[in-house]
Amino acid sequence: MARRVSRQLVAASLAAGTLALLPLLAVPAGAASSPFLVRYSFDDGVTATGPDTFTVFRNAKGSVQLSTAFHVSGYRSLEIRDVAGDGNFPELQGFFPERRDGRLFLHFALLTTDTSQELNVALAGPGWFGLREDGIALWLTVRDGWLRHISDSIPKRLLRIKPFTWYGVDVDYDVARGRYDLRIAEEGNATPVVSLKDQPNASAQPGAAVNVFSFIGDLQDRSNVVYYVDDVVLGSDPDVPRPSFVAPGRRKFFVDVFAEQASLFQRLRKPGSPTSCPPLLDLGEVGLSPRDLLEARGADRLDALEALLTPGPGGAGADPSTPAKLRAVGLWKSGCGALEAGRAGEALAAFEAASRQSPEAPLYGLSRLLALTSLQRWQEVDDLLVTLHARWRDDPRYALASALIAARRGDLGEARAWLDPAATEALRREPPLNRLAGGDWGEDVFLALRAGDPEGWKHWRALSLASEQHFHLALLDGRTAEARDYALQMAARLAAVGAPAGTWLERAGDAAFARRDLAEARQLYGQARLGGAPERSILLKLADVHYLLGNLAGEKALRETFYGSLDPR
Amino acid sequence: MKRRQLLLLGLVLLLAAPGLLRAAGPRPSIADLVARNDLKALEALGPASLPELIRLYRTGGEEQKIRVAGILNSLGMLSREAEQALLQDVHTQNVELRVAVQYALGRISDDPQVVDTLLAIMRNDRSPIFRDKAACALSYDQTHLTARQRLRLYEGLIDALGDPKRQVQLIAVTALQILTGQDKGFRISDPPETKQKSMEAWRRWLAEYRANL
Repeated sequence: MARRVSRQLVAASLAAGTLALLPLLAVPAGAASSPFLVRYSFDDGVTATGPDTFTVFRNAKGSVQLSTAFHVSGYRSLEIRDVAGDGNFPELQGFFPERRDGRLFLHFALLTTDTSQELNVALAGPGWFGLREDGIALWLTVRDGWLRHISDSIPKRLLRIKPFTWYGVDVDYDVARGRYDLRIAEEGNATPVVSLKDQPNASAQPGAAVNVFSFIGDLQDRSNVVYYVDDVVLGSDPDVPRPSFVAPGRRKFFVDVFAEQASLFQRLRKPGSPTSCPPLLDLGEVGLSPRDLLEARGADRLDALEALLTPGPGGAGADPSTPAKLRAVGLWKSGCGALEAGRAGEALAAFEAASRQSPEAPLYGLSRLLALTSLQRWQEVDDLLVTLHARWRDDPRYALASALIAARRGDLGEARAWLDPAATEALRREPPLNRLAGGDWGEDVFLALRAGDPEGWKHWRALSLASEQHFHLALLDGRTAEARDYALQMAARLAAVGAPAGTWLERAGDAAFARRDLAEARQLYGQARLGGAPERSILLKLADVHYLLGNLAGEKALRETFYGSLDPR
Repeated sequence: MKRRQLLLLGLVLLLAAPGLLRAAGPRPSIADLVARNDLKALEALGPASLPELIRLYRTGGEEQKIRVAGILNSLGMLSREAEQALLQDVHTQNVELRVAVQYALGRISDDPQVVDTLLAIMRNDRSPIFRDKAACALSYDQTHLTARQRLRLYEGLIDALGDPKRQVQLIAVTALQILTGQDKGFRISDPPETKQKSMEAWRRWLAEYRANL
């Protein structure tokens, strides 16, 4: 029979025409000493992508991007969003050295938001993504509410999958025999929901080579799936420890993120302890867009960029022909080195130069804040805190900086001044002051304050800075009851004058949650929601509370509500 | 006087900007788009273009039918009306039109009748070319079929392994290989009893496939 070219293969090949890149961590392919061929947690750093490591295809209207909405470990997972009828599909694709024998293990966590929408996960070889020689070896698909695996060329039902629920997938694959064991754990379920042994691979072909894995929506362009992937690990040694996904197998709670920051805070506040730069969690934080990365790739600069973004020494002495944004990354990195070495003045100069080269990069501002803190230039610290507030106020790295400033500055007596009767009277009279005390540090608030009180506005600003730092310091210092009480007092004071108290009620909820006082946290978050706190963060925190209270239905409903509240892209 | 100047100015602007004139001109008809094979524009029209495409197919000569069938194939939109139009030519002796129709059918339909028709051509048509092209269409073009609908396709192909015509056996096992990645050891040159064993393996596979629906 005269064969025609497979249209699926053409579609997959065409996808390479819209290559884009994302910051992800990869174990370099061929790393001799590592049992891991691929390991992505989507949290720990960045790497250049390429044919032997990792590529992300973002096609048409769909997208592949890091997301903090849901995650199993760390702070982020990868969101894959497909759009039906846009003529293409988004894809996360990873490469590793070809295997024709031995054993492989694959682990990943998966959460989908709508189980009626199709998604596909595959491990394949040089024959690419089809049921053919050296083609797909492992193939999992969600369709019509069912998770299936294609084994012996037959789609076989595994389980009716639940939306907004993490599933941990573990595959032990005997490449030579072309057979695998499959285990799937469900979030909140102590017993594996799937446990299969010795299954034939996708097209029952022993010895089929594998060298690539892929996560997509669908090839038929009918899927509007949005799903999340975390902790992708592929290794050659089945005995090596893998990311745990046992019940409760839960994503990290937001309060655990604070706990990590608290641990870091305890280290940084020790006398003589060097200050370090805030970790980079997203390339956008150093002003790099996917287009910049494509240009860097075209100019053969990805290796240099990867070196710049890898923690450790270096960064200075960039080639003058290097684009400004990459030079800025180099300056930032050299500044981080200087900061850790205790040369805060040198670090500050480097961060300022980086900001000038790449003004849209927010991380340089936060780094400047830490350098100014080390230099104890408090007036400039205050000015910068106000500038950074809108962008960073919900970020744990900002909370850490705020607490560190408080610890190093020492005197936070003004924090309680908001609770004085004089302040209450001022709050009653001055609406902009209400907003300031309630956590709104917008430019319009300060303009109004300055206009109304040209002499006294700085005093009110200092009170706001002190009150926020007081709270962060108590929370990260482990004095959670004190943090909660202070936040409650602030909220009560604001409520008494009819001012928005949502932000302080949310903070009180955070402190209660940190104390694992779940009932109180739930109540406070509910009040915060009514009090005007940002709904997005409240819903996620409430979902965590419900989960810990054992109310999985309530948690699911909240997560779905949260999902529905995401801004359209 | 002023009005005249304005008119003149407008005329000058129009002459200086032929793009404006073009933009203001009539939109090309679907027939125009078909004539210049403008798939992108047709795709942008979506299902709204189907009635006119079907009309053009029904009323056109063979050359136009071949062109429209190719376009319907590329657009891949489900349409029972398009299927009915194409099925009228599924036995034409015009090779180009026949192949275009056979290829397009699966791309516009999930009707079991299409699979049955193509299976019948694959096994019974007098022309080995049409038989081969029917197998091609069954292998590559049945894009709208669900797993349950594919059962009928697999049943037909596995049954065709026992066809007395060796070419039919060959194209059937090739189609199975394309669809599943497997041949279950079926070799055209093997003696009948060996082939029988392979066919039994395929039937067991089919039973498992059915059980998983």
